[in-house]
This record gives sequence, C-alpha cells and structure tokens, in this order.
Amino acid sequence: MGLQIKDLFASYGAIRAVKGISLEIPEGSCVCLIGANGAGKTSTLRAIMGLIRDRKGEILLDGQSLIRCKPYEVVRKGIAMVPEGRHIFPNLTVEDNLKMGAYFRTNSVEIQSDLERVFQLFPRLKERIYQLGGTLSGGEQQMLAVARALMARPRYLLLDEPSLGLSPILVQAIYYHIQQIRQQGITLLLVEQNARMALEVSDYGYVLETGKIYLQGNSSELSNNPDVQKAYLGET
Amino acid sequence: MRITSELYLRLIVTLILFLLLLGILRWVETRVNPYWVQITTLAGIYVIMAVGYNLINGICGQFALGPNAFVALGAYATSLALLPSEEKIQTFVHPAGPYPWVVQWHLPNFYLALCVGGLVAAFHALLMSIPVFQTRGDYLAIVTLGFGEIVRTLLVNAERITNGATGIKGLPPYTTLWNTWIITFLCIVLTAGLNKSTFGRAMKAIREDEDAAEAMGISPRWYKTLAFTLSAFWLGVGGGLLAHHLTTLDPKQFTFFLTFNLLVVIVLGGLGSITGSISGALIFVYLNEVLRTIEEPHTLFGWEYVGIPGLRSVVFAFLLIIIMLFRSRGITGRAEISPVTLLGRRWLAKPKPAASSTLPRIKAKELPYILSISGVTKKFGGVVAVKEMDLKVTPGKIHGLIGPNGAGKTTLFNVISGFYRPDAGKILFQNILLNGKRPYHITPLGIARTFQNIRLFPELSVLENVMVGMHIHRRYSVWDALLWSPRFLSGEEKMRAMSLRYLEQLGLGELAFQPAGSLPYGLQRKLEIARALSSGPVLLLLDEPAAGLNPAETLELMQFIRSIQEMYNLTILLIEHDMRVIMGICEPVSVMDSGVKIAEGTPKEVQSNPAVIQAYLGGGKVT
Repeated sequence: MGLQIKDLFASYGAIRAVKGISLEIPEGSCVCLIGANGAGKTSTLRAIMGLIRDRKGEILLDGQSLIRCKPYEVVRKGIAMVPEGRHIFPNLTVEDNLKMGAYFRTNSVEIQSDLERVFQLFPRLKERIYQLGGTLSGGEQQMLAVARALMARPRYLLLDEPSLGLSPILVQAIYYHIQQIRQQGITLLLVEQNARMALEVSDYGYVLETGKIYLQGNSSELSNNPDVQKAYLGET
Repeated sequence: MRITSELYLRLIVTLILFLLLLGILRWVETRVNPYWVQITTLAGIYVIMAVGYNLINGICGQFALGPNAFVALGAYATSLALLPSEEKIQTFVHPAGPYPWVVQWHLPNFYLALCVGGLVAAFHALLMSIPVFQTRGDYLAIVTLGFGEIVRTLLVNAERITNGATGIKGLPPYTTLWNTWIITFLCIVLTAGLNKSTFGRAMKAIREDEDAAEAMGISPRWYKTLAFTLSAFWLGVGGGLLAHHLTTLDPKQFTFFLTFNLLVVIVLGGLGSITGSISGALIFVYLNEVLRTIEEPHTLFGWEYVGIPGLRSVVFAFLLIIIMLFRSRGITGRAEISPVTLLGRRWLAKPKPAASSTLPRIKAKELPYILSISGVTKKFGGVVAVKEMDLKVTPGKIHGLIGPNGAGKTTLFNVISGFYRPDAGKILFQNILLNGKRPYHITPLGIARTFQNIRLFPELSVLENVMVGMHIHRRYSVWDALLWSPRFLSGEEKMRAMSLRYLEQLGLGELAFQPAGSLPYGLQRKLEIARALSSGPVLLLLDEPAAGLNPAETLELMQFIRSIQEMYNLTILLIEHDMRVIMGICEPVSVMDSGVKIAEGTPKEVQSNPAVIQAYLGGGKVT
C-alpha cells in the first residue's frame, strides 16, 4: 500500500523535465526529493497531480492507477499539493481560501470541524480570518497554502518548497507544523532546496539530477554521503 | 561569406524584398485580371491598418478597441481635403451646406493629404493618451470602445462636416496598386525599425512586466502614448487609402464591425508579430473574397442554394474560435519570420569586440554615505509597514537587511526605488532627494534593483532583457529608429556587441538568444541581477537573491555577488533570509521588525543580539 510511482516521464512541449523516475512512498512515511534547480523536482510533483498533462508511466495509489486522472480527481482520491510559491487566492479572505480547499467536500459539519482543526494548527490564521489572502506576509501565506491543502482532508500531502522566502524562525515554525501534520497520520512527499531541513524531517530521500534519480537512501545515510554534502548541503 | 551584423543583414534583405515586391506588383498589374488587382490593393491597405493596430495591441500589449475611429478620422480628413470645394457644396444635403471651414479645407496633393489624415488620427490618440495612460489596467479598451462609437455617431450627425448618413460619393480613385503597396512597404519598414530598436524593446518590456520595465528607467506612460499615437497614424493613413480605393465614404463602413475585422486579422496572424499581422491581413482579405461565393446563390447537384448574406462573418468568427482553440498564439505567435529566423544564426559572424567593451556606467560621487534614509514612514491604510526608519549605506559595502517576513524590508526597497511614495521622511541618494520621484527617474540616477519573485521579461530573449536594462544609455532618438539612420544602426550594433560580451563575461553567453522565461530558476535569478547591472548603477538593491537556491547554488551566488561588487565597484543593499549569505558577504547588517530597525552592526554582533534572536533567528538550528 502507499503511493508508488513507476518510470514516470513528463514533458513541457519539446522539453522533457522528468525522465523515468520511480518513487516508493509507503503510507505514514515522509519522503523528500532534493536536487539542484531544474532537476525536475517540481515537475515530478506536478506530474503526479496531473498538472502536467504530457506524462507517461504509472502512478499507483493503493494499487489503483492515477495516470489518467485529472488534477481535481487526484485531489478527490486523497492527494493534495501545496504549490511552490504558495499560489493562494489573493482576493479571497483567509476563510474563503480555506473553504476553497474543501471545495469538493459536501459535509459542512465536517468542513467546519476541519476549519477549527487547521486553526488549532495555525492560530495565526485564525487571527487573520477575514483578511484578504494577498495582504498576508510571506510566512502567513505559506501557512495558508498548507492549511488550504489540509482542508481537502488528504491522506497524502505533496509540499513544494515550503521554506521558500521565509525567515529562519518561520522555517523552523513551518517544519514544526510539518512534523505535527505527520503525526496526524498524513503521508508526506516533500520537495526542498533546503536539503538539510528536508533530510532532517524525512525518513527516506531521493536525489534528482536532470530529471533522473541519481541517488536514494535513508535520509540519515544521505546526509552523511560526501557527494550529497558537497553538492546539496554546501559543505566543503 | 558571413555578414557581420544582424542589422546590416536586415538592410540587405529589406532591399531584396523591395525589389521582389516591385516584381510581384508588375506581375499582378500585367497578368492578373483587374478585379484581383483591386483586391490586392485592398490587401495592402489592410496590411497597413493591421501593422498599425498591432503596434498598440500586440507590441505594447495595451488592449485598444477603437481602430475604426482612427480609420474614419483619416478617411474623412483625407477625402474632404481632396474634394474640390464646388463638389462639396453640391453633394452636401444639409440645407445650409457644409461649414465654410470644411469648404476651405483643401490640400493640393494626395500624399500630403494622407499624411495629414494620419496626423489627424494621431492627434486624437495623443489627446486620449493624456488621461488614459495615467492609470493602468483595462481603461484603454473601454475608452477606445466608447471613442469608436462617438466618432461613428458624429459621422452620422455632424451633417455639415461629413454629409451624414448619405456619405460622400465619387471620390477620385487616387489609390492604386503601386502607391498602396509602396506605402505599405514603408509602413512595415518603419514599424520594423522601431520594433527592433530600444524603443520597441521598451514597449515589449511594458507588455511583459510593467513594473520591471519601470525599474529599467522606462516611462510606461511615454511609451504607451508613443505606441498608441503611431498606431493611430497608420490607421488614419489606411483610412485615407481606403476612402480613395472605394471612392465612396459613409458612416456604415466604420462601425464596430471594422474593429472586429481588424482584431480578427491581428489575432489570426499573431499578436505582437509584424509578420503575423501581414500574413493575417493577406489571409483575411483574400479569403474574404474567395468566400464571397458562399453568400451567392448556387445550384449544387440539383440542390438550390440561395446564398446567405453575412455568412462570411460567421465563417471568420468560427475561424477565430478554432484558432483560439488550437493555436491560441495565431499563425506566427510572437515570433517574426525574419531573415535571421529563416537562415539561422550561422550566417552571422560573431560580433566584433566592441570598441568600448565595458558597460556604460553612471558616475558615483565621493560621499561618506551613498544612501541616507531618515525618518521614513510608509502606511497602507491603517497598517504602518515602515515606521520612522533610518538607514545609512556606506559606499563600497554589501549592506545586509534582514528581518521577519512582513517586517517591511521589501516595502523599504519599494520606497527607495520609487514604487511607493513615502508618507514621511527623507531619502537622499548621493545628495539627491528621491522623495516623489518615479522609478524611471531614479534608475538613471544610479539605483538598480531586482525583485523578490523574479520579474524578467519572459518572452524576450536573454540578450533583449539585458538590452532593455541598458535603455537609459541609448544614443539615438525615436526618429533615428524610425528612419533607420546610421546613428541607429551603429548605436544598436554597439549595444548588441556590448551586451553579448557582457553576457559572456557572466557565463550567460550561450543562452543569449533563448527566451528568458525558458531558463532554469537559478539562471533566471542570475539574469535578473545581470539585467539590473546593465543599467550601470552605483547602488544595487537585491531582494532575496538566494531564495529558492540550494546551498551549493547559494555559495556560487555569493561568489558572483562579491565578484560583481569588486568588478563594478558597487554598493549593494541586500535583503536575504539565508543566514549563510548574510554571515558570508554582508557587513554591516541591519535588522528590521514591524517596520522599525531593531539592530545594526557586524553579522556577529547582530547574530548574538537577543532581540534579533527572538524576532528573527529563533532558538532552533539555523540553516
């Protein structure tokens, strides 16, 4: 069981961004993808969600294929994504942004209780409930993006660069929240430039280079790997 | 043989195309039946109108909807100037006859009248530009739509000027195949020259990202006005030609339907592309003629087809929908079919090393502080984003600015670079007061900036991005560009060579002709710094240059920043969250929280400051 990606290819027009990637994401785990800019990390996430239509290979959720699913169908099956650069709805209030995350759900009682739950996780958002999304600071927007994804009640959460543009203290806060989310039983696939942080919170990691998997292993092994240290952790 | 310069290659090809055009016209004149000669003339007129209309809608990216008004203005101004006075008095149906000034309005020559017709249209565009371009957004579309309708109503009701709904008949058929196509050629050459100049690049930069364009020293208002006025001029000339081609004028020719047709032409061809507009116009006119048959009665296999008038517009509307579905960018997209795209770059020799290979630079003054900010406050409604901020920047330093998200760092950058007007306080840059200056005033003084979320001109090439950055160092005028003067050719050549060399120095040379938007994220960050640098600044403002870079790339970026700082003797003010960058290359470091400066000092001092730890660094491990 879990999410399995087998030999995934994805292209933007003539440019092939993902060239045969296989990932294994067991239920309840936290897996990270690291790699340089342009290595295909974001494209892999977008291909899993179906946001890149030009894709080949197999995506199995508990043995069920998702390769023909549209993005909104993928979300209904229990996979949500927090896109790189947040992409919140700037002219909707925080509350409406969150409700959009639960768009396909119909049980309003459950939605209300989930709303309370994400406010518990991010008390800051409750303070700003009627503020427009676009007027939040960068860190608050990132929290909103994560909270919005949680409103879909996903079993799997794909996080694309949650630490982008955040101050050190907020990076710590976001990672604290990520760990809390994990404790709630949500499986995580994490893409990060901040490789150190990513390897710290994850169980297993994949290193991507030019659209292929270059290295994989337990996160603790990877952070001790001299190649990884040199190329991605910036240690000399 | 290799040709040393793209622009000279263009000149040669232009000459060849001109001779070719003369040949084709001769062939059409002698071998084609007179009916199709007429259609070919009409095609030329449509090309002029489309190329003109594309200038504002496609190249400058401002959605205008009133070309019918400008065509009408040009048509009536030209016709009334050429119609003999007696004829005017005879044909006008209004009992009082035309106004005396309409009777007296007379020009001796068709070409002079065309020019004046164009100028009349351009003058109205210029008047409209004053209010419309003070704001951004879709106002232009609404205003021009209204203007089109006003002009049409005036044509019907101002009977003593236009002869109302009756119109004017029996105009002399001055428009010929030859004069139309020579004017068409002229229109294309002039517009292409402008398009390839620093002014055309400025218009495209505005289309791509207006804020970034403004930060390059480009005044959006000026260039939108230029594009709109020139566009109206060519539409007016087209109107004059059209009137003397059809030899009749009446208000029904200038309804919104004409606007719709022109819109179909430029969208079908490819918005923003001159060659696209040309092909769109040719396809439209000839297809329109071929399709005439579907509006006429026929007998098909014994089945009587009565012919449906107006069916052609249905066909064109369908064509537009189909193109939008399958090729939303039109036939050519934004690309031009030019000698270079056809032959490839291998025919072009590498540019010679420019005589002055270094970038033009703005002179720095010797002062203890290059930038001094005192008591600056910026409010948004009730929220105080920056509060009585003081900051002094010493020349030659890489000054770090850190603080929690929402502390007001980027707001401060926007105040310095002129995007926001401070509510209080003073900003002095090299002893010049910046308060109230627009970004395009500030860039030429020597401040350049990058943006937190990369704002390149994605559809322009890497080279063009850098050349837009050099906009303030242009050495030729709009007239030089329009007329392909030697000053334009050599100035543009120098700028290109200089930019190419500069890109090579930065290791971006291989990518010079790629669209900036296609570069990987890390290189886009680098290009944005390169573009800011190409304006030759004294002070460079970098907003989170390391965001989204991995640790190895960040190290590379730090070396890059340090090397440009030394090479160009820059002063840099840098916002960053990556403490490695702050600790590694910045000194001093200022810390902001909630719009206020809470600490300042060496990186070490700041790092151990309890207030900074509490507000910003946090207790945990810092990466």
